[in-house]
Amino acid sequence: MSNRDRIFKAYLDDQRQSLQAPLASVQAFTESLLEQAAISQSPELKADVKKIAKAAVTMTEMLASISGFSQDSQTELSRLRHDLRNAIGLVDGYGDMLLEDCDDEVAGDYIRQIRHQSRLFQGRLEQFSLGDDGKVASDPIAAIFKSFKRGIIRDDLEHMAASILVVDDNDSSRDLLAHQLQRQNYMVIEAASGARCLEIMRSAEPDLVLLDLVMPDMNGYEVLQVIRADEALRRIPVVVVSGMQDEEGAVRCIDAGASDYLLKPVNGTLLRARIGASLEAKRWRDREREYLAELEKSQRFIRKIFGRYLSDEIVQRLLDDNDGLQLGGELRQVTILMADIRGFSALSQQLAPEQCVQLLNNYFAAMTEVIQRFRGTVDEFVGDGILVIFGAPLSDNDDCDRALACAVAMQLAVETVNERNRADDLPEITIGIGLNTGDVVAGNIGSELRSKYGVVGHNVNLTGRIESCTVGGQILAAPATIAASSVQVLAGRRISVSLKGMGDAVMLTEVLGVGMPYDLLLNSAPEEWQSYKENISLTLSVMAGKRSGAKQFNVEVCAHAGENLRVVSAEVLPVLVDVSIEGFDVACYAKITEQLSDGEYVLTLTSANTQLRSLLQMNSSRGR
Amino acid sequence: MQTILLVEDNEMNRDMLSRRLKRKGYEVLLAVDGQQGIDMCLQSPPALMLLDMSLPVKDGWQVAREMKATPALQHIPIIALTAHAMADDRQRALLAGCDDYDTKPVDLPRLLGKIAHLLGAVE
Repeated sequence: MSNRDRIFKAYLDDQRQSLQAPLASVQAFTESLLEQAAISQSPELKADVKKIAKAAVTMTEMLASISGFSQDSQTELSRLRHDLRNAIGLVDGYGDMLLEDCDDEVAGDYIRQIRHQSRLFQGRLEQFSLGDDGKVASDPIAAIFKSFKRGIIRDDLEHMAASILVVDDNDSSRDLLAHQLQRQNYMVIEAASGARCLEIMRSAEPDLVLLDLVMPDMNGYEVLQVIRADEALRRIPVVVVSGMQDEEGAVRCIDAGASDYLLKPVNGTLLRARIGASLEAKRWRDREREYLAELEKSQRFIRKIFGRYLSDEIVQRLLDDNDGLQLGGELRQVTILMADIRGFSALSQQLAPEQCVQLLNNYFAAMTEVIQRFRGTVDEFVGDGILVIFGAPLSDNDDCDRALACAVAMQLAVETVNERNRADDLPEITIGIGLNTGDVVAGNIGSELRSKYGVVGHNVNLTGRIESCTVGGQILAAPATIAASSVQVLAGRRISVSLKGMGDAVMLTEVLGVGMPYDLLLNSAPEEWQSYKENISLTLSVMAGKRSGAKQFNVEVCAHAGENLRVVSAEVLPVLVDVSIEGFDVACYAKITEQLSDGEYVLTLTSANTQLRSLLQMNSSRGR
Repeated sequence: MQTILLVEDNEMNRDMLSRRLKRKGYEVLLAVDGQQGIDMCLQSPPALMLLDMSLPVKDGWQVAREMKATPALQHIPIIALTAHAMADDRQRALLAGCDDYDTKPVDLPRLLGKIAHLLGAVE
């Protein structure tokens, strides 16, 4: 049987059952009627009730032909409908006459019920189709759903509270339950076997299942086991209905995953209460599930957002820690790393905005990867600068070592960035890195609506000042960082600077490499000084902040090595100060990096245009 | 008391509908097939004929056509009854000569209304 045929068969089966249910109710009511004294004592009335019962039986028999229908059985369906309409007329007609003839109140109620079931049956009959245009087969779920909707008995109720799947191989007891439930305004779906039960559970997701235990082929316990093993089905509460009067059976069912247990014959009040309780429990579980899904979504969000800054390990530990995301702060000892692109302001002025963004993206992508590798926390990207924390939100013994190693690795990664920049037709860059170790306040800083994990404090500001002392390719570390490190540091020059907020002069260490286990070394073969035949005159303006034009100095350049110029000055020059070189179309910048002797200094170019480079007879490559 | 001839092959339907009509004050004669219906009309014409269309031997359409083609019978109003609810059933019934049409299962008040209307028009 093809899948399409199988679906169509299931559809027909479902249709037949939905037509059968009201007829079974009619039969049940006629039986009750015949037991009423008002009917049983009157031969005429009794005869009419029996005619109704007979009509219902005939109609039920007619329905058997539905199973043999195909999608082309239009004529057969038409014939069936014709015959059934005649029979409905009988039920209605005799029913109406009985109502006229019988003034017994209870009997009257039963007869009205029969009339109601008959109308229900007619309604379903008129709606029954073989699925025009193959709609049934193309959308079986929708079709089955459509047929389930016919379970709605009360036309006066716009919407149904919940859908209940009644599973029982015995037609009459299933119909009875279905009837009871329909009267309580539940939408009722029926299944005559365990396999059909599972099928409907999967396709229609009813709100609750009433499951008979004793069934052929697949019994109730087996059905429960399949349900328990299936994550989607497990969510639907199952109330077991059994004729077996044993406590042990009930316990076994609960163990197997049933949410409740009812004994046959089912007491209507008890049924209503148990169903109500199970549905309520399901509603809570559904809500909980939604909440968990929501939570998982927000965790994914946190991971996505924080993942840009924090290593996976830290994100996981933050997520595991309930309080990890609360606002607040703590004093922590951390190593702070600050890096920025030397001469970026000047560089950015020469670039189109999109080029600028492209350049920054190349740079940040490479740096973030390196920082994650050394488990640093990117606290902030500011312009072209990166602020990285080692030791917050989680601290380790080797925070300082990782920071030092990370700095060297970042410098080495600049070559990769420049390769990309060359490919993207962007200028090459150099970066300077400052390192400092000390106490900071770390925590989620900001308001409830907008907060980020960050560090603040004097040591953060200090790191920025150390970083501003660097030239391209250089790493400068504060004494506290060198003191706190346990890894071997290959130190270059020691530079004494007087930094704002640091009181006395501070001895910064130029870091050229770190030993095992990192074993990283800057490839900084110092270039030889090449003297000029004739000195070149330059005018330097000391920059206050980013504004030039304060104090000016005239210097003579006598030699160059890479980006370094050896200059002679009649006046005393400030060391580790940024200067602009005057007299060029495009602003050129440099830093006075070192005093070699009295009146002799090293000037390192941070941004030089081709005009300056040709004047200095330097090749245009910025390679170190 | 006005006489209605009910032509219906199904015994239960005949029994049920005739009893209901009697309760409403009509005298009801019964015929079990189309030919018997025509014969009865020729013997003693009823005030109205209720004609089930799906009859064995001679179906309702034929009966209606014959009735309307017979001068002695063409004045008898006919209400066609059918359990088919095709859109063109009504049209077919009226073309065959029926004066009105109703569907099964019978909605008695509606049917009584049609009967009364036709009988009133005849008088």
